[in-house]
Amino acid sequence: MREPPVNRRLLLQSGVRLGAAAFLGVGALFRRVFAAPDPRPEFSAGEFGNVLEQLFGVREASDDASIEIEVSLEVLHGDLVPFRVSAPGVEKIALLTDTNPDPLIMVMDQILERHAVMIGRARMRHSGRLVCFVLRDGQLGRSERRVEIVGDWREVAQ
Amino acid sequence: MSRVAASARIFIRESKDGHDIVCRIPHEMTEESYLTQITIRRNDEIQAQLLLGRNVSRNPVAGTCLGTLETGDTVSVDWEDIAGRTGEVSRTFDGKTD
Repeated sequence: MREPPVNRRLLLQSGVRLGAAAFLGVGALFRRVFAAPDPRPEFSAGEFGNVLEQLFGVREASDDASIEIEVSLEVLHGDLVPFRVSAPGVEKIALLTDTNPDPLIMVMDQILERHAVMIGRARMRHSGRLVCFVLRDGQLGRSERRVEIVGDWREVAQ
Repeated sequence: MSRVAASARIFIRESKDGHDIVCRIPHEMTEESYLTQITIRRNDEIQAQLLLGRNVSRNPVAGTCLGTLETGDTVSVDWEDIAGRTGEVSRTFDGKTD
């Protein structure tokens, strides 16, 4: 049987350790819940790979500044997200989203006009990105816009 | 209570690239029943073909832009849904835009 002072010391030490562990654990949980959004781009080349392979026969795309995506930064609800996508000299346009299980929104093919324009209204389950891919001279270009689904309008403190 | 657009209609509006041709099509666009294809023609010549998925809003609008549109040109839009149901609407441009 141990002496009482040693027991008291061990008890105190284990209490301090438990307290520190609990404090760090709560801190980590707090950081996880209230953390700022990850600034790194969410897009990965393989994300839409299968759809791109099916639509264009290629999986890799490079950024294309000539693609213009006109869409609101914020919309009331995701059932009605108007968009207008345009790009010069393309053979095919596809608009995809990362917010729905099936990413395909709309594809335009057999384009006769020199400056291709695709107009529509998308449905998005939650805030996310509209990603546009265009095929031009066998090369796949990409551009994207983020859309926030804000729900009902809220009063904003001035 | 839900509302459904009364009928299909083609809107023509001037835009920076020419004339936007936008067609509104009454369709419920559910997971099981949705439009799959829309073809836009001018004077019976195909201008563009659109393939749609489930992620298009109810009573969808779909369109393109024509660089030049002359008075008397007829724009027509036809569509087909997953069940094979088809529809068509056309409009002859009289110089007036929406």
